[in-house]
Amino acid sequence: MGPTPQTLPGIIRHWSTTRGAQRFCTFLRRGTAETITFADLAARSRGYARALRSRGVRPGETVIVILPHSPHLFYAFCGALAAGAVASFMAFPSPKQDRARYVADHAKLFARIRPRAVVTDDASAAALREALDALGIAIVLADEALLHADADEAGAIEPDEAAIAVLQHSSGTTGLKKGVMLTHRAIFTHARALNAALGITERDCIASWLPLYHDMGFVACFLGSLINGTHLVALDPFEWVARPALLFDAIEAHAATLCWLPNFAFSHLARTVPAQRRWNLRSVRAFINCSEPCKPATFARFAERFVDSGVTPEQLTVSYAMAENVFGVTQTPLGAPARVLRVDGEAFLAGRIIACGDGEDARALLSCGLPLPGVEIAIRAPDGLPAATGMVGEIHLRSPFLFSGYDKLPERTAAVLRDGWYASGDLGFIDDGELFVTGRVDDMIVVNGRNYYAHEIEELVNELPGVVPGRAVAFATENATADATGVTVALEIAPDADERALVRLVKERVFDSLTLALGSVHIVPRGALFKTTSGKIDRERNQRAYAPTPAAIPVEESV
Amino acid sequence: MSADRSAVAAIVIAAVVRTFRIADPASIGEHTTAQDVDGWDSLSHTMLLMEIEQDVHCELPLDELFLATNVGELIDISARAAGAAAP
Repeated sequence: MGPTPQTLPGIIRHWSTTRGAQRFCTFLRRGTAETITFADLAARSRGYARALRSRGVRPGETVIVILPHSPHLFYAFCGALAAGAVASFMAFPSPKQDRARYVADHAKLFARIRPRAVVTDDASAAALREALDALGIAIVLADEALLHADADEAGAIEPDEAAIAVLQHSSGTTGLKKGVMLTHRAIFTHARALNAALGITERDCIASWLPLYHDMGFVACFLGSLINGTHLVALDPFEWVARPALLFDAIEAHAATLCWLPNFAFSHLARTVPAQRRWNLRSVRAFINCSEPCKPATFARFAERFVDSGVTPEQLTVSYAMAENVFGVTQTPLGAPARVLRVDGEAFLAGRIIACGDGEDARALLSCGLPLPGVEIAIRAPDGLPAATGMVGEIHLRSPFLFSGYDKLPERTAAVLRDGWYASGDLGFIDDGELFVTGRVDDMIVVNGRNYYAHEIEELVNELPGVVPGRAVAFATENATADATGVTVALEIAPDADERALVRLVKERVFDSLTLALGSVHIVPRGALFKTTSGKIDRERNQRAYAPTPAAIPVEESV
Repeated sequence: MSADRSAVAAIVIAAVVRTFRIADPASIGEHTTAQDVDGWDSLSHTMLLMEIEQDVHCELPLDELFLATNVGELIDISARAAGAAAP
């Protein structure tokens, strides 16, 4: 047997040949479990590959997969790869999202990225057909792939390792959505680095409720399992939000060993899982917190709440990750609690790091761990030079698996990728070799593991009739009910505008374009929003003035 | 079969008031939507469902949980579930 293939279509064929009867995925939905073997995955994806080729898809062209939670997500994606296409997942429309807005936004997006085909379901196909036909983009349905269910390997493509394999699309409105281009080589090199950091072997099993259009669900869970030939237990994200305990049922039933979660998910589990329930979660080698600012208090609450289920602080690890580095940048060591550093609060606000004790003003920061093998991190001051010791600066990184740029966005690529270094936009510092992430250079707000930009939300609100142009501001607030980060909008409105109707309209507009549920919308008197001396909206000052103050109510009281 | 709808309505409205700490309970009615209430997103919706399930003594059907467009529809779903679960 030759060396293990280093391309995604190659590895799918390889596992199908060498461990075809082995489980690739246990797909959980509405109380049922469907087992997909590696042979199933290869066979079903061949059907999609044949269907895509028959619709004119050629190697190197982009195929977008927009499907609800079902095994067809995997089949369609792997089918696109088998056809030699560049495959990409995009979010399926939420049931409450306005379809017309969804179609209009995606038509603009598709006009820019020009996929050759979109794989979707009947309802979305009906909604999107006119827009896609106008752009000459084929729509492929699951039924078409089933017609080719007996397709063989004829026409199978073995791409070059340096070829672009996938696009990971960021969240955001159509104007800001970026497709991160990743080569097969980058994906496989990253997998080796992540495997080394986490000691991943073929005996591992990943349990995930994460959506596949998000890098954590896509790379760490789906691609990781595919490349390593390990078992993935996949839950429906919508189902998990409503019934968080399903994740623990899955871990216990399959003795899962790895579980990636954004910070809010630790909190959601600790707050919603019925107090009387117990599981055996000792099989988990690591719960990995990433994609959001990770909080020591959240870990403490999670460990305390699930101690009877075998959860220990040593299982709770942290990673700093981003699509531009395929996924992982750092990881805290396994087998030890993630380090908590207490720093002087006042100095911290000024960007200086001074370690201190447990004083009243101390701020507790959770380490994101050590760089993955091959990853270099530099902390830079605003002038681009290395930040002084003890100072917070922008996190720059370089690695053998850095992305190849943003698809069809050369200027935005050039703005962040210079001399082989990627400027992350995140702020942080290194202490004793470990990375600590402290905030953002720009106005990005992370909500439930997804990234949103305040200016983008403000632009959406400013377009609405009744809003005084340029007089809307968005900022992060604490959603005390869910113990998570939320977004509040404050705005000034025209004298004849209907306040109640406008508040609803603002929430609808933001949800329809970004699938972001705003925490609250405050209408403030004309002229009340603060501006900077240069005439721009002053987010920080407005946040201090208009952020709701739910923190006055202890979190525990809301449960 | 549905449980006594008015009794379930009182439970659901009280749960909304409690979960989202509504200062003026009279402002919550059957036509209230998530967009009318600060902090009502998919995560806090789960907190609300837990409150309702505890008080109607049954699990609400998963398929319908996120489809209700206003409080009235949430009451209907809860009443049907409570009725189906009743001995």
